[in-house]
Amino acid sequence: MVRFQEISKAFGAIRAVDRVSLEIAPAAITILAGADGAGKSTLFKMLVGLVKKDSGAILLNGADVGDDYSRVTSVCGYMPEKFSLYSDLSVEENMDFFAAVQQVPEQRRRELKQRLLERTGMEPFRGRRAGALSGGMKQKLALSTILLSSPQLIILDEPTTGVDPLSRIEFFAIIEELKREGRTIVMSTPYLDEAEKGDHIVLMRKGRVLRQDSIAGLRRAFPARMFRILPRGNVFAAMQGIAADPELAGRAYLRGKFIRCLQEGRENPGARIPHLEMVEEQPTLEDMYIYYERQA
Amino acid sequence: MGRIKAIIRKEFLHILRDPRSLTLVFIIPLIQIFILGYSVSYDLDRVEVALIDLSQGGTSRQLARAFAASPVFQVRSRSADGGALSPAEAEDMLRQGLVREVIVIPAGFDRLAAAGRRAEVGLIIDGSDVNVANLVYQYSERVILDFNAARMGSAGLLKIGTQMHFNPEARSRFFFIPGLVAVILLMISAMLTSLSITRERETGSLSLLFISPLKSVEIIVGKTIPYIFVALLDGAVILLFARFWFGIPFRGALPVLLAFGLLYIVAGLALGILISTVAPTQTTAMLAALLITMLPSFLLSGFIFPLDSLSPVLRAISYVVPATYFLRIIRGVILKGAELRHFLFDGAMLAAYSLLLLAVAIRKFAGQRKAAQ
Repeated sequence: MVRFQEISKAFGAIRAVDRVSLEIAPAAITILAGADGAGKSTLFKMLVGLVKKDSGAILLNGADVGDDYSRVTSVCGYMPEKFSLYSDLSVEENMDFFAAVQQVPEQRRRELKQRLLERTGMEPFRGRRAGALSGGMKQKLALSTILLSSPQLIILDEPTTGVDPLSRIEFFAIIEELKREGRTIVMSTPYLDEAEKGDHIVLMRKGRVLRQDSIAGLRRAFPARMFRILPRGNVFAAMQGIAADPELAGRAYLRGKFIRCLQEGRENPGARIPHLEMVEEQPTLEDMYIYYERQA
Repeated sequence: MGRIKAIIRKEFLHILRDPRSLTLVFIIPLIQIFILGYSVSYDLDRVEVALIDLSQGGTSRQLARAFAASPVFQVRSRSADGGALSPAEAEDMLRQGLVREVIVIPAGFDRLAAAGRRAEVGLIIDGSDVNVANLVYQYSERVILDFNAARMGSAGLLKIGTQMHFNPEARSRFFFIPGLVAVILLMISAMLTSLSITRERETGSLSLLFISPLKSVEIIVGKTIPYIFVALLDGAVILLFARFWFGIPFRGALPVLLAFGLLYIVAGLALGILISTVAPTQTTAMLAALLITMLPSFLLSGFIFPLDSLSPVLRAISYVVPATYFLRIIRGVILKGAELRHFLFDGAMLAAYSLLLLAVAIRKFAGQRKAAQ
């Protein structure tokens, strides 16, 4: 549905987005994952026209958007990273305002509003001021306001950051439902476990795409094996030993009492790390991200 | 129209639910007019003066009584020990600022007066504050002229018959307070819209408006209309306060003032929008609105200094200060009962100013929106 072609953006000396090319497939969930400064938000802002791109092209349904961003904004709903609705207006007033701005007909507005309030579990809070809502509720409200215009493309910039785990699960359930309705969803997240839920995952770092594919595709193409190791003795001493070993340095990281070690080729890291237990596991997206990030 | 209505409704909700802004809008102007209404005045009341009567005759005592009877002066003619004030003591008092003037009735004053010859009275005035010195001189001169006329009876050849029209008691408060209304109204209007837009920029909601189907003109018009009502209400509150607290007369027709006031308020609101396009934060916007509206309105509109006394350059600048036009209108309507036809030029200038500012504000806002892309 949307294609970024060699998009770049610099803020002074900082290259926020560096020759990024990626595709947002229709009726699917595309997730941009990466740490702060990866360029995810800038990419979204360029898509809706809030930030001017330096170079490259954005194609919507095969046609270059050029400088006419209304072509994108007329079919999309954009939810910024920061809660940007009116805190002093109630849930219902916020929804009414944005529906009126989008010129949703009165009858349809009433029906949609009711359906969204029920779907997001906000019905009991419809009269509550947005500023008094919990983090999760705020994000649900922000999502509801963009859904009032029934957009084909839904852009969500870190919608689950700072949201409690239960609300995150509920939020994702709504996103899955939207996908089943045939909507195209593109969202960003710093949580790699969350990113695994995407149909297409784009791993980003410092304005560049590290890798992109489905989770299955990423796993298939991943060149390393993952070993979960319970070291003998002190785990920090074991990590110091790994750091000093040129064969292992930069390939292991701590996760609780375990060391997660990425190993290329057929060699087994167990021979170099004194351990009580070692299990080969399927690499997670987090393992892959760390691997590619260190490679970069 | 539906989208503009949605913005108007939203803005009204913001106003009603933000007690801080409501305080800013209604209480601060009242405090300003209260303080400035008392402090900015050319009237003198109970000015301390020293009087040395070296003649000690009937006529000199009559003159001393004439000064004492004036509501303007508080005459001190005795020293601390109860004796007559000496010239040295009076000079000391003048230096210390205890008195503003020393009136000296010289020895021989009575003798000359009785002989029908010219007798002189000395006025030594503290000139460190020229405005006060001039007023003290004028008031003293009036006392002496009245005293002279009373003594001469009908012997005087000419008599000036003076009538102060519109302000019979020549109270400077009548002149200043309508001016204050004009200054405060412009300041509040500019502040209202500048804060409204910068607040949206700070919270991030302006980005959502930017990418919405709303046209820039719809955003600006929708944001301006509610504040027209607020500023009009504010103006009414200030005028009522001026009328009933300071006793300022209202001789003109309210619809005339309302019509011109509307144009003036739109100019102020448009100025606020312009400020908001460059001010990144609410604090900057507030300071900019204060600076841009208050200083020129106070100094270059004829509020304090008559336009005739300004240098040609400053006078030229005064023509782009909207308060210059509204000041003439409000003083004319309130004090003189002037009608619409008396201020057609000023009204046309205000209308042109409002439309121009609004057009520039919309253009600048749209440019900013475009620049984001």
